[in-house]
Amino acid sequence: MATTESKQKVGALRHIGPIIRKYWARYLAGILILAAVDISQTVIPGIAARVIDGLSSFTATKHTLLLALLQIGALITGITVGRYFWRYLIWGSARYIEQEVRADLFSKYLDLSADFHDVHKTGDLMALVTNDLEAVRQSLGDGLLMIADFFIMTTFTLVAMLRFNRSLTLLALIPLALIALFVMRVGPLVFKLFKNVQDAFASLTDYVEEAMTGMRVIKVFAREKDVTRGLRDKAAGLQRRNILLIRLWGLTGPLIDLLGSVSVLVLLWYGGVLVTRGSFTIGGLVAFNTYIGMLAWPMAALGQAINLFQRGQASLARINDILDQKPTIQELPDACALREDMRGEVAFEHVTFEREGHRILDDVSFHIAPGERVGIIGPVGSGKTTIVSLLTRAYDPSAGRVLIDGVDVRRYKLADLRRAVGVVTQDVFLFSDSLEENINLTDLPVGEEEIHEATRQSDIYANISEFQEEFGTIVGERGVTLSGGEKQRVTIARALLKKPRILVLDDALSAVDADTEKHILDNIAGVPSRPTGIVISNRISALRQMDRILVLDAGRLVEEGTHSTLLRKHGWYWRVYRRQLVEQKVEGE
Amino acid sequence: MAGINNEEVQERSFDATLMARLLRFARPYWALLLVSFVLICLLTAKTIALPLIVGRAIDDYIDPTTTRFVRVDTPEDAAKANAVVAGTYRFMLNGAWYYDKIELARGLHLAGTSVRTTEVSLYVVAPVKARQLGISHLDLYADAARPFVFRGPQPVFAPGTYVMDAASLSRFTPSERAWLRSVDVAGIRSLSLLFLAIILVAFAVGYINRVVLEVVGQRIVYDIRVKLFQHVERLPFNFLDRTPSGRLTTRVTNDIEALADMYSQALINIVRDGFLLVGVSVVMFNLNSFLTWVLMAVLAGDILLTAIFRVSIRNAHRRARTCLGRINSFIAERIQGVRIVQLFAIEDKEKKSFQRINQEYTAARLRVMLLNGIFRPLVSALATLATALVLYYGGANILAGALSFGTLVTFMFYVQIFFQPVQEVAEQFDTLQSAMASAEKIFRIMDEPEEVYTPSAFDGKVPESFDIEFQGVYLSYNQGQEILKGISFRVEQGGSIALVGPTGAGKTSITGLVPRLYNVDSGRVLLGGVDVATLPAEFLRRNVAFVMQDVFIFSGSILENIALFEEHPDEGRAQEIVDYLGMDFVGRLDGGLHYHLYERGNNLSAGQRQLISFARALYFDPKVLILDEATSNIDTESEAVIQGAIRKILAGRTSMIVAHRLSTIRTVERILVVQHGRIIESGTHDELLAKGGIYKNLYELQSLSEGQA
Repeated sequence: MATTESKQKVGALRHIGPIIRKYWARYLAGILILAAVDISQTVIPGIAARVIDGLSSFTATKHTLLLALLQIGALITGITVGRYFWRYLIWGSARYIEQEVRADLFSKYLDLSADFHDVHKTGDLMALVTNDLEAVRQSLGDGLLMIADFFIMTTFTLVAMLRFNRSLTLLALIPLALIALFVMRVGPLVFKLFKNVQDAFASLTDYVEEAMTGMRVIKVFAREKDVTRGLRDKAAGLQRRNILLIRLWGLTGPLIDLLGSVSVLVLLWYGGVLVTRGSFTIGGLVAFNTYIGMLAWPMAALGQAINLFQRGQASLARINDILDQKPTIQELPDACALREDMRGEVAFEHVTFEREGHRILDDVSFHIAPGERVGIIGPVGSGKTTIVSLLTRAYDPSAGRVLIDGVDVRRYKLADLRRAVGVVTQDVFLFSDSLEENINLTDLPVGEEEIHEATRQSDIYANISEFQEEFGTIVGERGVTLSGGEKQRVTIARALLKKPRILVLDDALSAVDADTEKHILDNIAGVPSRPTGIVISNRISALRQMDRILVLDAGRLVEEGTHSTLLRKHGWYWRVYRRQLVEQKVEGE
Repeated sequence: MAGINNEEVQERSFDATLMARLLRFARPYWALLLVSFVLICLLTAKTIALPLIVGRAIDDYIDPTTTRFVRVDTPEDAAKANAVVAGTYRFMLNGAWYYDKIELARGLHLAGTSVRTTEVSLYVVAPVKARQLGISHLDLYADAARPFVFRGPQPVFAPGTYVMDAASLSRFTPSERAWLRSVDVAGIRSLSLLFLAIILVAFAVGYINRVVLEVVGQRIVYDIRVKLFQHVERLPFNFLDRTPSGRLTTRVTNDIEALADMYSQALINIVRDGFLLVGVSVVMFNLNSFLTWVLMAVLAGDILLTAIFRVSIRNAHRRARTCLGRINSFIAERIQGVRIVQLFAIEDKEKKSFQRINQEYTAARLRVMLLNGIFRPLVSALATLATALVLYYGGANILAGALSFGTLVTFMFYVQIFFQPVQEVAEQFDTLQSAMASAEKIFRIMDEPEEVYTPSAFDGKVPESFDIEFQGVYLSYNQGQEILKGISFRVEQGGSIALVGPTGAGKTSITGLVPRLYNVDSGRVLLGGVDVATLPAEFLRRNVAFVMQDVFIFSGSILENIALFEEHPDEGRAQEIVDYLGMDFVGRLDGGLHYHLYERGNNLSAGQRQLISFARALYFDPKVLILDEATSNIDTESEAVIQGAIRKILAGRTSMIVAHRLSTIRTVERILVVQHGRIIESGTHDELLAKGGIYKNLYELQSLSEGQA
C-alpha cells in the first residue's frame, strides 16, 4: 500500500519535484526562522503576565517594568527581522519555482507540434500559465507557510498555555478548533459558489460581447428594448449569485469573530472564577487573551491551507498533463544536416494526408526542379496549404514521401529543414515588437543593409521609411496598426531575409494591389541565388508568369501545365481566368 | 483573450466630481444604507464595549482588591502623614493608618519629609455586595475583634463598605472564602452573560450588515450596467463605426464590476474605521489620558510608516502587474504565432527572450515582497510595542496607585484593535482608486450623445404610403471625405430598384439612409413624401427591413434569431415564413425552429444563415425592404432556394437591392449604377446593356461567375 501511495506522490511531483528540491535548503531555513519567530511570540505574553502579577503582589518595581519593556523590545526586533527573512525564504522560493514552471510550460508550448495546437485553444493554454500556475504557487508559498505556522504556533502556544492552566486551555481551545473546522467545511462550498459567480459573469460577458458585435442588427431592427431585457436577465443572474455567495461567505468574518470572542468569554467567565478561587491570576488572563488572538489566525489558515492544497493539486495535475506531452513531429536520432549548398529540389511521391478521417491530400505526386518556380491554385479546401505544411514538417504525411534534394524530409534535422524553407503564411502574424524584430526573427546578427534589401524586395521599404521610428516602429496592439497589405509585405521580407533555397508564398499577396503584386514577384524572380519558388494563390495574375502551375481540387492534382497550356485545356483554370479578367476590368474603371 | 492581453494597470487618483457622480447611483438605496449605518454603529459600539466589560469584571469581581493605599506602621510616621494628608484620603483600620498613595506622596513632597510605608492590597466589599452576603455574618468577624475587617462609614469609602487586608483572606476557611466570593462569582456570571449576548447580537448584526451591503452594492452595479447598456444601444451608428465592440464590452462587464467592491465595501468600511478610531480614542481618553497619548504617538508612527510605504508598495505592485501583463501577452502571442516560431526555428531564441521577462517579473514580485517584508512586520511590531508601552506606563501608574488592573487590561484589549483601521483605510483607498479609473471610462461612454430617436420636428403624423425619394443627397462619415455626392432618384410604392457598382462606390451607404442609420450632410431622403429626418427611428426601422450582407446570427434558437429577442415570439408566424421561403432545412434540424444556433451561426451553412436573415426581415412584415446581397460563396443547394426566397420577400414591397447576382437584377424594374458616390448610369437591364458602359462589364462578370459554379 505504502509503495503505491508514494509512487502516486512521486507521480504528481514528477515534473515539479526536481525544481522544488533545488530550494529545499531555503524552505528549511525559512521554516526554522518561522519557528524561532513563533516561539518568540509565545514568550511575550508570559512577560506581560509576569509584570501584571508582579504588580499585584508588590514585587514589581520601576526597574522590573523597564526590564520587561526592554525584553519585549528585543523580542520585537528579532521577530521583525525574522519575519522578513521567512517571507523571503518561503514565499520567495515559491516565486522562483513558479518562474521555472512557467518557463517549462512556455518551452513545452513552443516544442509541441501543430496537431497539439490545432486542438488546444489559446485561452485554455493561457489558463494553465495563469490560474493553474497561481494555484500551485499558492500551495507552495501560502499553503506550506500556513501548515508550518499552524503546527509550530499551535504547539508552542499550547505548551505555554498549558503551563498556566490546563482546564482553561482546553476549554478556550474548543471554539478555536471550531474555526478550523468551519473554514475547512465551508471553503469548498464557498469555492463552488464563487465559481457560480464567475460562470454568471462569463455568461453576461458572452451576452454583452454578442450584443455589442451585433449592435447594428439590433438597431436596424429596432430591437433595443428586447435586447435590454436579455441583459437585465443576465445582470440579475449575476447579482443573484453574488448575493448567494455572500450569504455563505459573509458568515465567515462574523463567525470567526464570534468564535474568537467565545474563547475570550470562556476566559472571562471560567478564568475569572478561577482567579476568585486563587488558582489563576490576572496576568494569566491577559496572557491567555493574547494567546487566543495568536491561535485564531493559524486555525482559520489551517482550513484555508487544506483548500489551497486541494486546488493546487488539481491544477498541478493539469500542468503535468501538458508537460507529459511529447511533440509528434520528432527528429530522427541520426538526422542529417541540410547542407548550405543544397539544390532546392522538391518532390512529392504519392503523398496522402488524412486528418480525423478526412482525406486532405490524395495520392499527390509532383516534382519541382532546383530553381524552378511553380504556382499552385485551387478552390478553398483543396489542400494547397497542406502541401506547405508537409514540406516544413508541421505534419508528416499519412502515406508517401516528401523529398528535398532526393532525401525524405524526415531524415533532416528539423531546424535545418525549417531554416532552408522560407514560408510566407496565409494568415499574417506579427508580434507586438518592432518592425526590425518582426523582420529579423532569428537572433543571428543581420546587417542593416540586408534588412533594407529584403524590405525593398517585398516593396515595403518606402512605407517603413515614412514611420517616425522607421524600423524601430512597434506594431500591433500597443503600436502602429498596419494595413493587411503592409502586414503581408512585412512577412514576405521576413521570409526573404532568411535567403531560403526554397521560398513558398502561401496566398501571401491577397491584400496587395495588382501592380505591387507584380512588382514583388518580379523582385523575387530577380534574386540572384534563384531559389526554388512555390507560389500559392487564387489570383491568376500572380501565377501566369510561373514556370509551371498545379491545379488542386479536393486533395487531388487535377491539371498541370504552364499558363498557356492550361488555358488551352478550357478547364477549371480557364474559367477562373476569364472571370478574373472581367473583374479586373470593372475594378479598373 | 482580450482580458489576458490587456492587463493594464487601472488606477486613478481621487476625484470629487467622479465620486459625486458615483454616489448619485447610491441614492435610491438610501434606506438600506441607513440601515447599514445603524448596524455599523452597533458593531462599533460592540467593539468598544467588550474591553470595557472585561475591565469592569476584573475591577469589580475578579479582583476587587485595591492597591491605592499604603499602610504606615509607626505612630511617629502617622503623625507626619496626618499633617499632610486630608481626612478624606486616609482611614484607620485595626489601629494602623492607611493613606491614599498619590495624596501622601504629594503631601510629603510638598512638606519635604518622608515616612516609611508598607504596600498593601485591600479587599473591598462594596455596600451592595455586603447586603447580598448578609451583613450580620461579616459583622461577626468584626465583633470578634478579628483584625482584618473594617466597616464604614469612613470618608474614603461609601457608607456600608467593608474593607479588609487582602493578605488576610487566606485566614478564612475555604468554605468561608467561597461564601465571601460567591457574590463576585455571580457578578462575573452576569457580566459574562452580557458579553455573550453582545457577541451573539454582534454576530447577527455583522452578518446582516454584510448581506445588506452586498445587496446594495449589487443593485447599484445592476442599475449602472443596465443604464450603460441602454445608453450604448442608443448611440449613433457613427459611434459604433469608430469604436471597437470589444471596448464597449469591457465597459459593460469588467469596468462596472470594478465598482462593486467600492459600493459594497470600501465606502462603508472607511466610515466604519473612522468611527472605530474616534470611538476608541474617546473612550480611552476618558479612562486614562496619559496612556492614550502614548498610543496616539505610536499611531502617528503607524500612519507615517503607512504613508511612506504605501506609495512605494503600490508602485512596486503596479510594476509587477505590468510585468505579468507583459508575460501573459508574450505567451499568448507566441501560442497564437507558434506556427511562425516553428517555421523559422526560433524556439530557442523565444525561450531566451521569455527567460528575461520571466525573471523580470520574479524580481518585481520579490521587490513587492521585500517592501511588504519590511512594512508589515514593522506595523505589527508597532502594535506589540504599543502593548509593551501600555504595560510599562500602565504598570508605573498602578505602582503609583493611579490605575486599576481592569483599566490596564481594557487598554491592552484596545491596543489590539486600535491600529487596524489605519491599515484597512489604506487598503480601501486602493479599491477606491481602481474604481475611479473604471468610473472615468464608464462616464466617458455615458457622456457620448445618444442618437435622436424621436426628432423634435416630428409632428405625430407618420406617412401612410411608402415610396422613397432621394433629393440631392450628400453624405460623409468623416469630415471632408464625401461618400455620396448628390444622389437623387425615386422608387414608387411597391416598386424596386437595384444598385450596382464596384466595391466602395457608396451603394450600401445609400440604403442606410432610408432607415436613418446616418444623417445626411445635405439634401433630403423622403419616405412617403416625409423627410426621414423628422420621423421617429422606431417607426422607420420597424417599417424598413434591412437584410445585411454579412448575416449576424446570435447564439440562441432559430426562432429567437428570426423574432430577434421578442419577448413572446410568434412561433406560428415564424413557421409560416419558414415554409413560405422554402427553408426545408429547418424541419430537418433537431427541434426545428428551436434548434440551437451557436455563436455566429457556425453550425449552419452560409446559405442557411442567409435564409434566416430573410425570415428575420419578413417577421415584422415591413413595408420597405432593403437587401444587401451576400457576395460570399453559397453552396449550390441553397442557391436555388435563396433566389426563390428573394423573389418572395420582394413581392409587393418597395425595395432597394444592392445586387451582386444577375438573376436578381433581371427582376428589378430599374437599375442604378453607382460609382465614386454618384449615379452614373440608370435604366432597365436591356437599356443598360445596349449602352455598353460599366453595367455591361459587370453583367459579363456575373455571367462568368455563375458559369463557374
